[in-house]
Amino acid sequence: MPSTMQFGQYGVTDLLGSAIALSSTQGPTWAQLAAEMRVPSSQCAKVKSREVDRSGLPSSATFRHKLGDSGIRLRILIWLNIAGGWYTFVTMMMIKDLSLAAVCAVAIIHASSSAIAQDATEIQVTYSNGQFQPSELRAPADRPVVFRVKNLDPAAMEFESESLRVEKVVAGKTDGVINVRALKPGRYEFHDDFNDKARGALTVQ
Amino acid sequence: MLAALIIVFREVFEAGLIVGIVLAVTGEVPNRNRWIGGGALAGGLAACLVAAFAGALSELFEGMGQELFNAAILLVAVLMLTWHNVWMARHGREIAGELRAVGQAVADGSKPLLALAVVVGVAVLREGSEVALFLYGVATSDGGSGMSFLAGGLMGLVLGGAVCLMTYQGLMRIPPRALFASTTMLITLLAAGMAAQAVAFLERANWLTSLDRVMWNSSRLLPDRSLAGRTLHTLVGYTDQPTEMQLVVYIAVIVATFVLMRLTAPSQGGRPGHAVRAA
Repeated sequence: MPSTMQFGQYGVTDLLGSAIALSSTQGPTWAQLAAEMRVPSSQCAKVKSREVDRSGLPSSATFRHKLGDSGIRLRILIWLNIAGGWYTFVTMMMIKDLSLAAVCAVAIIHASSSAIAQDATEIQVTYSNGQFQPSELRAPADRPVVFRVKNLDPAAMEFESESLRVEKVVAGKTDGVINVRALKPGRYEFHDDFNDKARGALTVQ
Repeated sequence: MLAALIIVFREVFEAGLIVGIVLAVTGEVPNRNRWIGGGALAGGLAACLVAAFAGALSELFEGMGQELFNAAILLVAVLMLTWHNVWMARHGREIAGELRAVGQAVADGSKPLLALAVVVGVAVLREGSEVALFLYGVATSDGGSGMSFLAGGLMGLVLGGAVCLMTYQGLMRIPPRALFASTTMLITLLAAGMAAQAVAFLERANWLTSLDRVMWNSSRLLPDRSLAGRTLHTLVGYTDQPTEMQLVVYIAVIVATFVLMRLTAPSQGGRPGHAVRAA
């Protein structure tokens, strides 16, 4: 859907104002929207910020506001926009319905998100009895990596790696998500900062 | 026990440095102990709260709650430090001069104290929540080794306090006039370093993705994890693998601080010596 992508890139700056205008209205949140689009919400978050950054905006913070309108209408709008692209947007701006335009923009970013989100490699790691399972991981080069660390122990652990530039506390019996940028081939070691015996490595090829 | 000591000390170390600097900066400002102590206490309590709800905090913002929370409190600290510097550029010289005891200066002096108390609170909160999580995990694990770990952890805490005291004593050896200039620089770099850290957290949360190329890798020369690396990390924001955005923000904070200080400094005073002499 090249036309949609274009829309996302060029329309976002114009839509900033309308997104802010929407901040007071009630409606589905990002997470709910994501569920509706059947895209894991963590992927949405990542792609969303990337989209926004490409358009030169400081962060995606502005887009985290709640959206107006309810489910069915929203879905119709999403598809309408994927079909209509720029044309729909311009029309909406012309009739000055800012809230609708903002919903469309968000819909488009979401629509294009699933395509880009596939870039990231997702890696599941379990932490139990003070050990990583598995401790040797693999990932392809030049693609972002998302670690999902499942801490089965009652105590907290800290997933840390100097070479990956990450450091994250994962409380006992919870999951932690750790984002890593695209990596060059090599071996990247990680460990539990609260327990030196727990070690592992990610081999990037 | 030694492992626990090292882990806790590593976390407490940075907070100790920051508290030591703030104590030195506030020098003999009246009531400062109450403010700084209050900040540290509030930070400690908040750290326990954060530790207790660490799981829930993590789940916010699609699993990025921790990163965003850290970035947010760091940015608050950056704002407070910058504001303190700007405030001191305007009023500080009167206080640094002989007017310290005058009632007005005392009343004014509590304003930057609040800012610095917040900074101390943030430092203690950030490092403390990890210590609390770690010690809690240790305490709930098997009895005997748990107790020795806990003892090690407490010793780590005491050592962290010693770092704070040493920093303070070291800075207090600097003559007062030179101290004012050097603490301004120190606080500016502290703020810039914290801003760069906040950028790192936003990058990890994928909220900041532009300019994310790593500029250089000096981890062989001076790794972040070494004692010297950690000290420089806290004091001047040293990182062995900074991204472009981190560097940009770092420089921007320094420039912004100096521009703001220049803009708000009293025009008649001009240079440090003048105002004091006039007083």
